[in-house]
Amino acid sequence: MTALNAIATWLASIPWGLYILAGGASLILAVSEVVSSFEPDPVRALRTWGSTILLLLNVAMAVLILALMRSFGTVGDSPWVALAVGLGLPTLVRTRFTVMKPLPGMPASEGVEIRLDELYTRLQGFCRRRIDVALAGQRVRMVEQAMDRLELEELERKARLLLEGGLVVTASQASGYVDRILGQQEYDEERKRMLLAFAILNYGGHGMLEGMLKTAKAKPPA
Amino acid sequence: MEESWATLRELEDNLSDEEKAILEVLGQVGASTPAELAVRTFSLPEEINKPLLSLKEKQLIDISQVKGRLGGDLVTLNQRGLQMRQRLRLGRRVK
Repeated sequence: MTALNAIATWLASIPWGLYILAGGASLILAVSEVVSSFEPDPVRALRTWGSTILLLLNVAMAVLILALMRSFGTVGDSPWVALAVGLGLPTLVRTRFTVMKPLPGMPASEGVEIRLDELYTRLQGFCRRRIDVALAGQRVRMVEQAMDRLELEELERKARLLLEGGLVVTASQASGYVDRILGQQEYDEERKRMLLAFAILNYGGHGMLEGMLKTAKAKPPA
Repeated sequence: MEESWATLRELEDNLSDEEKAILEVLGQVGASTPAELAVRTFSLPEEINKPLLSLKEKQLIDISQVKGRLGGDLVTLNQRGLQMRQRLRLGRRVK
């Protein structure tokens, strides 16, 4: 009972509000980072595992840094400090809190030292790559579905509308691009369908290709 | 490690227009298959093989494998490629 009481007293002494504030501010910052980094597809990017890990990493880092600062006694228990830690996380992480110093007698160049900023940057890079690969995988799967379910003529019509209509794409090379794809004698129909589906996905967006796939699903089998 | 300004400048001078276009697309879209890069640059897939290999040799991109029916290569910008893309964008803004 004494141990439980001690734990309960310790838990009650933690200013949870400050940690929630720091973590929450850091979470908002991380969400805005994902949205701006993956601008073409922010919602899909936020739904990936990489994004979940990245958001959790940011919250954990904000909580850890606030705890470190409080344990060093450098800051008081002010909500403004907690907010500043959450919002200023990217800058604070780069202030190099050393978590593992070089072994005594080892020169600094031996690279034994592991810094918080390096760990954070590496983990952040890992998460970004995961998001990137997940989004690419989703696009590939959608194109595969389009190749299976959509007719070449349907894909051609939509791609022409996008590339030659001048509403979405205005680049001069766009106008003859569909003809270039269709005119390739050595390409089989599947290859042409793949390129046209990628064109619709890239210039019309997920919504457009998804809409085409839904309509195709409703069609009775030929 | 950050590349020196002189090294990146020398590398930039050796980039073709196609290579610069691919770096820009990778920066905008993220990881892409060669077919997607071809569509994004209004090229045919076989036309971008050479610039892709050249970018790989220049250590600006990484090429990994992707599963699925369209399985094959997945192209991503590496740290050096990101630096180069930022440099190219900055250059365009200055001009």
